[in-house]
Amino acid sequence: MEVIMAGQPFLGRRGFLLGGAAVGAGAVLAGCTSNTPANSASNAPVADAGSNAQPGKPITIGFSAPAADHGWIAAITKNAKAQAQKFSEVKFTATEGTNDVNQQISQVETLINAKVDVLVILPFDGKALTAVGRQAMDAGIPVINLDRIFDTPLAYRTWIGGDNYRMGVNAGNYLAAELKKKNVANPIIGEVAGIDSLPLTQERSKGFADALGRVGFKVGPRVSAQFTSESGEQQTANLLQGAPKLDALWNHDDDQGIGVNAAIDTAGRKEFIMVGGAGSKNMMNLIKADSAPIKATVLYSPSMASTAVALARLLGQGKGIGDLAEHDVPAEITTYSAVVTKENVDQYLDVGFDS
Amino acid sequence: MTRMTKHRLFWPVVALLVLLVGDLIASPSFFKIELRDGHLYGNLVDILKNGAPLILIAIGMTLVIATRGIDLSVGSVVAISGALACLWVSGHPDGAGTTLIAFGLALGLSLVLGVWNGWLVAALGIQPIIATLILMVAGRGIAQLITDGQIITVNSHSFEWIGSGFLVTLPSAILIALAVFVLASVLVRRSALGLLVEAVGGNPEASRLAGLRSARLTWLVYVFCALCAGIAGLMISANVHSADGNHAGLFIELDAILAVVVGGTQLTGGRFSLGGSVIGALLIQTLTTTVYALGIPPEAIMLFKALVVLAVCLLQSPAFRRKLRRRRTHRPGQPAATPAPEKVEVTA
Repeated sequence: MEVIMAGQPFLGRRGFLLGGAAVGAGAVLAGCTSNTPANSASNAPVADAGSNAQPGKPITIGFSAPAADHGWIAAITKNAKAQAQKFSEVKFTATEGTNDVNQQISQVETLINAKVDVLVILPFDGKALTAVGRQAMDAGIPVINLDRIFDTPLAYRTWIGGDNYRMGVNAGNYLAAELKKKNVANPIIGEVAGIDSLPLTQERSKGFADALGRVGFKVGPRVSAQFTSESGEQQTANLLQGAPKLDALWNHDDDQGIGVNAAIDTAGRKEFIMVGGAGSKNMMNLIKADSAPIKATVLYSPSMASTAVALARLLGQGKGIGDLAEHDVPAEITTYSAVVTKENVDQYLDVGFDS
Repeated sequence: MTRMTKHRLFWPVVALLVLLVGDLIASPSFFKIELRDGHLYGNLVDILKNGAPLILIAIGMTLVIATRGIDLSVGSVVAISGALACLWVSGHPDGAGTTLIAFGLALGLSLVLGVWNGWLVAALGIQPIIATLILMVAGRGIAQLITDGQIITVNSHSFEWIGSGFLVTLPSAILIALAVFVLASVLVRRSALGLLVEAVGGNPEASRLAGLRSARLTWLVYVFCALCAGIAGLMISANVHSADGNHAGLFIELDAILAVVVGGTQLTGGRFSLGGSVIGALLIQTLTTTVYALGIPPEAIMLFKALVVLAVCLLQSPAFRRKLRRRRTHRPGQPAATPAPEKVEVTA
């Protein structure tokens, strides 16, 4: 496997984040086993199970993502590289991460001109990069659109990403169940959201409110931070000032959660339970230690990048997913937002990212 | 009364009071301060605590601006200082020794960065805005190299004290900022240093011809400014128990410049007011806390800051105030009184 970095520094000190989901996805995509018994009749032919694990024809995968300026994006880039290294026939060409939309467009155009076989793109802004996604598709290069979705399916062959609404729902369901267990009748439930103007924040908040509403609970004090630890600290300090008593708190993002925890610690508040979001190693370790208010985190795992690269390889080699009846790679894959608690944290630590 | 309104601190203080009164009307609990576990908590305490890093940087920036300079690199110095300290603390056992070494390393590097800025400006004669822009850009890269592009989290009570600790019921950050302010005030007002800074800022060439070592003095203020930014960086990282090379101190240089200007120090150099800069910093922090407390989307903070700063700057402007007065005194149907030309004294 050859990794070519177009000007991106190699972030090596903290080791690769090889997610369990990535390993799991690798196993599924490699299709080493089939769930269909040998003698059973099937409505559709299942792709040859063993073939995906074997090296196929040599292909080049182009990769473009925003600047690794926080843990989740850094993990996306690391996971993509790590997954590509598993395949000897894959040449992986990554551009330098950038938060400048125009720069990312020109970087993707460079990859198109280099005639890569498949493109994996996590756009800084899905809408702004739709045109260049279409350009690649029109040039006959399949595009795997990672997480931030393009405006039209014409711009991608396959989309893989997280489920923000479900993330909120699962956080709400977990807190509702815990509060019911404690027989709390009218709980005061706080929320530290991300950037409110972003659709992903709105979806998370809606899912959270809907899940709580189903059991007759509602969201109480709510603040909006900026996905940074500093804003998380200031906003949470303010939320705690205005709410002398809390029963539960959901924080949308584990990167800003560092500041959220700092504010809780400084205020000396321990009377409530807290749920995080995204699934950083920091938070998972705190959940495991069970010494802080944080009792769970809802995954939005960057292991999706590993899956994206594995899918890109299959697309480039004209293969389907081994265990599926369909001959082709699906058009959309949504990852599941599992709730990581003290009981199952060991199972998920490998997909936790360094924030 | 007229003399009072002409005082350079009058309008910033009025703006701060108006803002606080507005907060009180909008949220009666805004002024509530409670004693919990022997510590003071409340929005007013938060304003002082969260404003402490900005106060520190504004103090350093005041002296730089007084010498006709500007330091755009303070945000990067904040990030570097916090990153280096957290890197050290995260890799060593918790204790006072570890924390002191971390502080020493961070402040030592901050001094080196100040020396670098001073060298570019004073020795090489590069324009301050360009000289400090170099470190502003490169400094973020240095901070990211130190943190490896990640957030370094620390769990050290001795380290956290500088940002979120308490001393005699008050947050330690407030007391540190106060100590630096008192020290700087004593140095510039109880010695000739303040006069020398004003002389260099007022007319660098004349002060050089008069025998002042203006280059050395310029160098000194950049070093002091970087040191203030280094302390602020320690406060910020200790307060959030982590170092974020990408976001720590982001745009704090703009807030500091605003605080200095609002406080009555002119960007053209010369006369300065450390007290004014502290009030300016508190005004900006009060704005931020107000936005958070009233539930206004954080994205609007920039706009709010801009509007308040614009209002204060206009009220501070003698020309604008003259125009306002003329409007008020000019009745319809009467020609506006033309002001008598100001006497200009020319000395050979």
